[in-house]
Amino acid sequence: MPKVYNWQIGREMDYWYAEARPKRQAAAVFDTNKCIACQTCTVACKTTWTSGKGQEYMYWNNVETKPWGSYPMGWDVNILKRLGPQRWVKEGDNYVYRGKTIFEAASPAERVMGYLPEDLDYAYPNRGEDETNEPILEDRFFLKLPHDAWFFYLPRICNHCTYPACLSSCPRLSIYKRQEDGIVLIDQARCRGYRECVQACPYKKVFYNHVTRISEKCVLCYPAVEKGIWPRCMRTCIGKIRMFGYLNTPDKADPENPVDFLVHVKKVGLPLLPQLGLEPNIYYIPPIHVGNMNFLRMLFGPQADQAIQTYNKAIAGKDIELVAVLTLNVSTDRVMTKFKVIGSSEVAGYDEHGHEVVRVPLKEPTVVRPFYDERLQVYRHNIT
Amino acid sequence: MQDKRKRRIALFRLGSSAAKTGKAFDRFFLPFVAGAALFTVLAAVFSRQIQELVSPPKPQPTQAGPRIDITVRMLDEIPDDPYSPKWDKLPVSNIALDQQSIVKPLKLEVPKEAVRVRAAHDGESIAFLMEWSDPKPETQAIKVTEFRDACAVLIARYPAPPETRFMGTNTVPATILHWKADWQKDLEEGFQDLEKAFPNMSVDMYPLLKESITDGKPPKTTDIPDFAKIRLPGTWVGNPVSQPSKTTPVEKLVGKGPGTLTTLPTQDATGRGVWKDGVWRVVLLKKMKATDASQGEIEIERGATYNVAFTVWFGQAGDRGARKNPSALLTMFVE
Repeated sequence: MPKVYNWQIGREMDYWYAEARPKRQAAAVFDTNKCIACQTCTVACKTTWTSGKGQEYMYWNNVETKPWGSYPMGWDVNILKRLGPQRWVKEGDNYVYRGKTIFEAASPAERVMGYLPEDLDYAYPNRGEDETNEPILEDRFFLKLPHDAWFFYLPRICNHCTYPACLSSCPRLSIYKRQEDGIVLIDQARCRGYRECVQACPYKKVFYNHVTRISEKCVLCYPAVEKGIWPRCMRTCIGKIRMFGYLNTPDKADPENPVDFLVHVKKVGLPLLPQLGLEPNIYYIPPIHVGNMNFLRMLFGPQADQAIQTYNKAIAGKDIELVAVLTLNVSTDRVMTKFKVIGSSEVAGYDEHGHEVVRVPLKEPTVVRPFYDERLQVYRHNIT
Repeated sequence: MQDKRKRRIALFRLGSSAAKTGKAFDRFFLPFVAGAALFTVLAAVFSRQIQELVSPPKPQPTQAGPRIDITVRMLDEIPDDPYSPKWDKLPVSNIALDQQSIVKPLKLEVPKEAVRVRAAHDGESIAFLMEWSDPKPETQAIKVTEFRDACAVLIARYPAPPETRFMGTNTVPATILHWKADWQKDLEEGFQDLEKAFPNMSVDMYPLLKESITDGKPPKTTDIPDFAKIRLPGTWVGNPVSQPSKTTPVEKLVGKGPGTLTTLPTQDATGRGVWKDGVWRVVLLKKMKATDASQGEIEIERGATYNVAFTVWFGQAGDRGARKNPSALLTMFVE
């Protein structure tokens, strides 16, 4: 197998095809600290793309509660169990993954180490919702960080990986990664429903259509993205957890690009299960309240500790730039390739032509009204 | 002495009487002898042509040609019933199935039994009867983990390089007839819809089909109007796998190497499979004259030799695509 460089694991690895990065890579950063699992993203995607017959069980976007939730059931546990214990090593300032990726751990007869979920695995899309990591006892404290008992929400879509397992597993070459934006698509005219991709994708974000008998996956709303507009799941996010844009490789990181800034400059955006080796392009700001760092390191890699520290600094008002970029989340549905802090009170976002597409205050203006309204002669429950 | 003299005189007289009639003898007898000799010579020279005139040729492979694995016998009519007694009168070729060890994902398990192949033509169409043991028929591919049984015949020109066995090559296209058990079932019992696999399903609403839902039950896929098929992406773009209305269980394809399998524009291959007592018997039939010759479909001619290969997919073992048991590349002679 050819060797390709995966910067997320800090080393070269085996992949079915030679390295062929797209001209630019569509990517997003999800702030798990702000997600409230309202499932607006899920519904936006569902109504847009997967509401036909045969697609009932498909959730190209889903939000699951961690640690117990998963859709399809146990997708993360299943693949990690198959991979077995692996390790990261700190070499200099960087972490290098010295374990095996799912490409390297594949049996000699397979291209990728994977498994095919059962029907029942798809039967409980909201399993484990709002369940804490362990039973809540009276002597536990929650008004501190991190929490003793915890859960958090993990919104998931296709990661449009740099090294997609689905693409490498398809013997028919029905899956392709677009040169113009790195979006991974299944050619609906070519696919013959072998389900090798369903089996190979460790995130289980490729689905088999029961009626058309071929496979389908998230298309990252490419018709919108081609026009410079955010995907549906991202622009409908009422928790404003998402930042969509284009990501460069670390050596070409642009500190004025919001996505590069979060992923490469501040390193708060971390890939999901980077040890699998796919170089996924949806990044997560890990939750700061989770009392089990090992769980976060397993999910987001060894840089989870550093990301949480950096994020906490921003909350404390010590990193205005980071606050500024996070304020731009879902502030517009136009793709931004640059941002700029204006003075110390505003942040502006610019599209690829340099046009300002949005300007938002770093701190929302608030008006405090009196608790008792003289004119109406009523007490207010909410004064801000 | 006297007697001797008398006898000599008698013989002389006899001789001279024969000599008197000699002219008439020469006139009829000698041309007859010459004509017979000429006929014999001509007959010897044109014996092959004369023989063909008297009785039409029964094409035979030349002595110096390849070892023939399968001979396609001529029948007046090809039976589409795999259990027709006509098939049983044809010679059987036992074809061993092999691993698929070339293109990952591989299939390294090999079935114990060979596939039994019979072949016939009627001057218009060529047909194959494939027969193999399979304890449980898999005729459904609705659920994620369901894979259907299938079989295929690959035909390529002779001689073809050995790698032609795997879906042809860039320069030697292979015509592939692919029978699918789920297509057969769709054809015989109607489209095997979502409700077949999930009988208790209910649905609130499909966009574009609001009025089609009664008592929580979805409309039949075959009843979905064309404008709403945009919600069936594979169907909408014309993928043959995704068409709920089938016309044949046998798909005619062309392959120019692994990963290049392409459905041919004219779908005129037919066939039928029957599973009985732990055995699949499947007829696959195509026209001898290629209807998609420009796309690489092979033309079958009498008296010619071809390369063929046979493949079986065992649905229960999770076979699909590259996970299959192909035979070696064999030689086939068409009578």
